[in-house]
Amino acid sequence: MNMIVRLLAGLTLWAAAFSLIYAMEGAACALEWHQLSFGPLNAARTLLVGLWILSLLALAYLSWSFWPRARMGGTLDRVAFGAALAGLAAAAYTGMPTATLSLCL
Amino acid sequence: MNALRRHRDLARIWDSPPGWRGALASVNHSQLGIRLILTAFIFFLIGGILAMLIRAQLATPGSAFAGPDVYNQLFTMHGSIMMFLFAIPMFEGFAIYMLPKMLGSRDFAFPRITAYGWWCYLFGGSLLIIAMLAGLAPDSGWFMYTPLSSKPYSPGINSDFWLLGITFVEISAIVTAVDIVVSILKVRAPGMSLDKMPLFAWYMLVTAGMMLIGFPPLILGSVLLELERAFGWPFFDAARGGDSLLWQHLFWLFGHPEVYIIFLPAAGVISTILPVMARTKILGYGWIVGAILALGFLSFGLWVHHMFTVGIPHMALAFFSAASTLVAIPTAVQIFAWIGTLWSGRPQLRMPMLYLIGFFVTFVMGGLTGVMVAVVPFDWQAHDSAFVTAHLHYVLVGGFVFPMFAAAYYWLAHFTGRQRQYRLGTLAFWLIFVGFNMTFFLMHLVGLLGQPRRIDTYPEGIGWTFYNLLSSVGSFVLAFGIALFVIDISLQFFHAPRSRRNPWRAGTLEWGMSLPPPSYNIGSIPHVESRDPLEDDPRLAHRLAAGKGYLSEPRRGWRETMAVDIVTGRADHILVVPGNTMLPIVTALVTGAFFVLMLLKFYWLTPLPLAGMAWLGWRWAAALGRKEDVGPLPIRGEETALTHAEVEDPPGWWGSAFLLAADATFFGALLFGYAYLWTIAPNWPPPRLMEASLLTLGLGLLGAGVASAARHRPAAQREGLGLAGTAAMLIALTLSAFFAPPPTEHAYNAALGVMFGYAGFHVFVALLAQLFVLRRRRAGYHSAARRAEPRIAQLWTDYAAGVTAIVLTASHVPALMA
Repeated sequence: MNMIVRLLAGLTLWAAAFSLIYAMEGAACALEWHQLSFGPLNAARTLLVGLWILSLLALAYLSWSFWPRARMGGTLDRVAFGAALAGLAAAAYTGMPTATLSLCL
Repeated sequence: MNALRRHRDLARIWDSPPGWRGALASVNHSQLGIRLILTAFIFFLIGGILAMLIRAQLATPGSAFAGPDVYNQLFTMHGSIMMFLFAIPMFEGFAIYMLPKMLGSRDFAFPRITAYGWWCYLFGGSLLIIAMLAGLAPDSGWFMYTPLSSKPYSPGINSDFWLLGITFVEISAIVTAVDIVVSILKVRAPGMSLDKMPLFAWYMLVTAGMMLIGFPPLILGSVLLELERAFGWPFFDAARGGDSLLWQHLFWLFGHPEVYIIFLPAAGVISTILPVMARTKILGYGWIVGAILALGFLSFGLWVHHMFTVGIPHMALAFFSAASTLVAIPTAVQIFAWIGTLWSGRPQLRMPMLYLIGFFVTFVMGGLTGVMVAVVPFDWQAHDSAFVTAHLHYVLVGGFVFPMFAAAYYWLAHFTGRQRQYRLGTLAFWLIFVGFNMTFFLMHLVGLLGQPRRIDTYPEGIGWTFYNLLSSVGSFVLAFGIALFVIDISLQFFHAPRSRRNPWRAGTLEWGMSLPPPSYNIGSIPHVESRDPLEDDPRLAHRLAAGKGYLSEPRRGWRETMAVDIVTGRADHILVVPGNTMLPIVTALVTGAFFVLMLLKFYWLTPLPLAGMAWLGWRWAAALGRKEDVGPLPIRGEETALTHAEVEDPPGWWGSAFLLAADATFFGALLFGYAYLWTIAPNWPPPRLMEASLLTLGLGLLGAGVASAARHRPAAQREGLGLAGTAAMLIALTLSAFFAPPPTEHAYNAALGVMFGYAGFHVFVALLAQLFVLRRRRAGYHSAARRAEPRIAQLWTDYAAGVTAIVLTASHVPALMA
């Protein structure tokens, strides 16, 4: 069963982060958090970018922790590592708009 | 025991009785798979005829062939039939027939569920066809957008046919998905570890998992819309706190993964056939498995790309645009693996290969236009135009129909025991290929010229006439091609000479049996050492027939097959599956009675079929089990194994777990809808909140805790505490529903009503499960070894407890805080 969990871990984490960031973006706009600021930082932007960076860190850690098994193990260990890397790349690409695009337009 | 004696004994155990009674009671996976395939193909032909009527209407400007009312029914039914009644059931049927054979087993994990799924599909699909013949077919488009499909704008029964008929068919899809997942994970030949599984099984495993997650949001949407239409609960009515965009979210949460749910099984077919045609092994097995997993997940991050024009904030559009372009990468990984396989082998241009070439050309074009519409500014231009119609047909016909035609020729000998002799198929292919491209390539162009989709007519002199006329001619060429395909295949059934075993010299196990296969598939179950067992041992089929594998000696009239450890494929236990029974068809009829009564608006009678289903569910479970321990039984040589009734987690436990996973997705989508309406919909907050009560909330939470914690107690105490906790949950939910405001007043009230109903239903199921366990224990069906039933009942109780706790918290806490 641990193997199944490892196979699914990276992409599940991406899916969770993607859903959470989208939900928080909707909530932030509905509750007008983009009008609030913490000093120089916009509250909504800080929240979204923070979630994005957290997801990247978590996925980077997951990929790193899968590497020893991928190097020594069989096909499925390598697939699990690849899936974690795919999750990391997907999170980096799909979360990028949090840092670059205008909020709530 | 010699091979002939073994065959006779196994056939006596596994065959269906002759005559109509045997046909109704059969649970044999081969028979059911063939029935599904044939029925789906008939629906495909019906959908194709509707497509020709659509093209006849659009061939010339200002056509009076079909009026707008009929035309609306035509395109709605064409889309609905092709998506729900053809594509999904077709690959399900193929998987039901083929998977056990590829995995080296004798049947699926839940044969009665397989049969129930087939009957539900047949009855649900028939409802839609009856509606069409009566001129009452759905007419709001295959994605049934609200408010067009809501009562004020679609007052007739047409939309109800869609909502109830499709939900009925979706029940079939969900139970079949559970069956497929558990069968792939648990019911394989010993030795077949996950990394030795045929790629087709990987594709089907991910597809079935996606169905468990993807279909419940659509079922929820259909339930909510039917509640709005039937009882006025305003989920999608903006004036009373609803939001029509909620429907779009729920529909496309299903609708986009659906594209991949259709494509992945076909890709599995390609990954199986292509290396055989290229006379080599598939390149990049691990890469392909990774790509399948990535597609399975990423495809759930795309649903909003169908909603780019509805006014969603730009940042959110960018999330989904990024995910939509990203999904091209795992698709491309597979395409490159296939091209590499062809490159490294010695391809031969046989009939299946011809269709695979057709697939490559068509699907790659569909994929490229997919990347175009994934980019927001382009989509704003092309949205709802004929360009999108062309794109989706390139993806779905290219990605599903061409590979399935390849499959038909590749596995024809398996179904019929005969080899292909006539050459009509080549002509049929070229007519299909040319006709398809003529029809749909031109739609790109006319779409870019501004022609919207779904229009019933258009004026002369705006530059669309030529394209539409040629498109229509192309569609008729395509239809002639399909007709020739049908004739070609039919001829093989009746006139072709017998095929030899393994005519393609393939390596997968489905060719390791006589053609067509007997009802039990294989005389004994192999021990698998590699991904291509037949290549390692070309005489494997003879050795298995001679009883050199597992379970070679039939005993006690049991239908036995092997269950394995999920990851390693180590022999785990003997699965004894139930035999032929009328329970599936009777249960499907009673399920159908519920939907028909809803359709006829005899709501007061609907408790009858519900009670009938509860009683049948009881009978269903009571037909299994034994009153004595059997202990380890010989499986091969000196090896022994327990039967499934005496192991910790038999397939029944896994089936419940995966069914509950789908159920949890339904519940998650419901909570999403509740939160979405609360934060996004207009006319919130509601005029009044429910009358919250700390006491009621406390009682419900306490009941949930007690029912769930009872698992740690001895049997008698566990049953008592479980029943007490369940009763407390039921009381708390009833009190909450009683003090909630009327559901017709506002979407908030309606959402509460559905949440209380959902939790109440599950508490009732948990109560039934506990009473069942109590009665069975007293009747002697449980022992220290036979403890699976209480564990399964506890699973349902835990789920009901979790749902009740969440529903009570989500309803009472906001009101208490206010």
